[in-house]
Amino acid sequence: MFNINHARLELQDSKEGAFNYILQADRSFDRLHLSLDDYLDTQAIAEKQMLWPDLRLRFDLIWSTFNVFDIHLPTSRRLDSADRFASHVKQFLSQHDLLFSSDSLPQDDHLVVVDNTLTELSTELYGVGTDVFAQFNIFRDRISHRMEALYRYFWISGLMLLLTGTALVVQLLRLINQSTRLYNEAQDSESRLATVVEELRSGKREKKAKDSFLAAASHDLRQPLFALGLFVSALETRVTLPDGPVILDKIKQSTEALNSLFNSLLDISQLDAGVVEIAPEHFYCADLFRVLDEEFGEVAARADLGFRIGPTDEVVFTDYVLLGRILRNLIDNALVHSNEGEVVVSCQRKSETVSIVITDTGPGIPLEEQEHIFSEYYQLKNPERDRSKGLGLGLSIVRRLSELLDIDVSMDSEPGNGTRIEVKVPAGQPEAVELVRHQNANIKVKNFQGALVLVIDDDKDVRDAMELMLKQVNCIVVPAESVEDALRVVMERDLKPALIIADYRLREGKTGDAAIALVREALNENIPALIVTGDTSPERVREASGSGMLLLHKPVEPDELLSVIESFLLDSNTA
Amino acid sequence: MLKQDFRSFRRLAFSTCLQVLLLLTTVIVSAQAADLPEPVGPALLEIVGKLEHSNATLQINGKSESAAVFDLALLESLPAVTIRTQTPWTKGVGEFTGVRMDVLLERVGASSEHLVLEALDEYSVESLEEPYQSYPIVIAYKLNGKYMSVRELGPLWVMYPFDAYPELNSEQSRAQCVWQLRRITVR
Repeated sequence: MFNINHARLELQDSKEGAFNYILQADRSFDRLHLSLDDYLDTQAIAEKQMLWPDLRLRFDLIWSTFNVFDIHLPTSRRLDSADRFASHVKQFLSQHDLLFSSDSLPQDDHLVVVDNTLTELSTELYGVGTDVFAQFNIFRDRISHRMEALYRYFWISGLMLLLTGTALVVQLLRLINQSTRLYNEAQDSESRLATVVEELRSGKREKKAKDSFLAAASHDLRQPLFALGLFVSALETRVTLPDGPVILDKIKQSTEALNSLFNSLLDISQLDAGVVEIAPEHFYCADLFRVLDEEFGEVAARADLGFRIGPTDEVVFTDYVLLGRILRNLIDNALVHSNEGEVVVSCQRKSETVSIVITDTGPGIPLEEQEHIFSEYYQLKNPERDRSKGLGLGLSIVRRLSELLDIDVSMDSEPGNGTRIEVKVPAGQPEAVELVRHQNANIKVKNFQGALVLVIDDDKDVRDAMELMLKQVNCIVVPAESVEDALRVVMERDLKPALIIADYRLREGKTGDAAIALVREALNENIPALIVTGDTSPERVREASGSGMLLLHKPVEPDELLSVIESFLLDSNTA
Repeated sequence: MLKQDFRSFRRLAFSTCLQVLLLLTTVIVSAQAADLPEPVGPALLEIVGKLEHSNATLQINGKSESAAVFDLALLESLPAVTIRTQTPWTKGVGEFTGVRMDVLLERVGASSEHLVLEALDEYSVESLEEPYQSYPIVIAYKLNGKYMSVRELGPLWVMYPFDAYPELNSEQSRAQCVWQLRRITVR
């Protein structure tokens, strides 16, 4: 950059000055030269006299020209030819100063000398001009060279800049893209994590695992349990050894315990699965209390404990069945843990809530244990985990149910002073109570209320097992080993069965559907019926299906049979 | 190209010199101007063109024109001003004494300020647009208190007040500073 500026300065400094110098000098030389020519051409003295002042003026003008430029060529860089020229001019001016200062006319010879010198100076000036312009060209070339280099430099660096910029922008865009994707991924995984954390916190994961296990287990467990019940019942009549009934009784108790434990386990899994539906309603506490009194009065008497339920006319607003389960669990717990004394249930209205209080005279619960007793499988005073005392699920069911119903359950206990549990239930409105609802609604177990069922089967074992099972659900069973037998019994005792269950293959080549048809004909009524068959051969199955009656395959699962019977009986009831 | 220009300048110079000779041979014919006194000494300045007051008739390029001709005494009879300024052509600060251009133009009743300034060495330049009312531009006849000879770029020198008005420092303004001023033509 410095070089360019320098060259430009040089050019600037010298150009105009040098140009003017040369022009002015040349013009002044020319004018004097022309005037001299005119003068020398003229012969008449008078005319010469007239031209002389003009010649003198011309000489002065040359002088003034070099006065302005101080003789020398005004360039920053000295030119040898210009220096020589300046000295020659100086010499010329001083040499002829005297000649032109005089008023009198000089000799023509002198003026010829002047003229010749002028011509020489003009030629010399031409040389100086050539040099000066050559120098300008050098400067100009240098500048243009520099400018070109600069231009190239700018061009290349501009291109580089553009390329770099493009690359940077591309990179930036890619980065932005990438970070957006990363951000989205991060958000995705964050939300997934949040879901998992939420599930973990609420114990959903754990419960899911447990629930699926229980759900799988319940189906498989129910079957053998139910069958066990059937067989134990069936065994009763066959035990003839002296101490047989005692052992059988123990087996029965164990079976019952197993059943109830299993049921509570299922209760928990149902509650955790969130499939229990709440149906809050207004009802009198007394209705529930009456049922509880019937249930637990006998149990308490057997355990040699007092059991009292106070009279009440309060109305509450909650789910009848679920509140019953809460209270049952609590009362059961109180009875189990009390060795002497009594368990008292009372009821009291407190503004917006009705508080049901259960007090026992048991050993009480230490303060540090109170918060644990509502968790699963936690038992007091049962370090050896005696199964007959239950699994410790009762209070955890209470906790779940109370959370579900939004009921406050609080405990006040002290070792040696018994336990007082208060259940705060939302108060209801007496006018909103539906009166006849809870006569039998709490019976969860299937109860067909003495429905008459005619069972036709040639196998006595099957008849007995069926009878046993049906008796458990309060059916009255009329067994018959053949069609004749069935007709006889029905006619003799003037019975009108609500349902007929027949084996498909009967004695002497008779079929179940024929037997059913005969009975229906005899009674002149289209009694609901179903056929049970152990035959899986395609012809028999087609045959049986052709009868148009419901067909069940042996071995019939008790649950399935019961639900079918239920549907039949409900149909005939509503019909 | 430049060399050719240089030669053409030489040719131009020759032709203009011929014109100069013609001009110098014009004879001053005395003519009584309205209220402008006639010059007594050697004429320093001729003003021709559109003007109201004249004191002479000049033969210019074969035509006779009425003109205002000034000798030194006549110029010095007008109010004198002095400007102090540096110039590219003098050393240090010069003290230029002379007549303001606008005063002079008013004195001859010039109808415009559009002028052509000519010098002894044939240099001529057209004036700029109306600088004379705005700035104290002088036609100097004294530099540093002394009259100027032709060799010293006299006897008359148009000078701009460059130091007092920095905006005047331009190539155009410098070209207006005619030394050896000989004639003003009012357009």
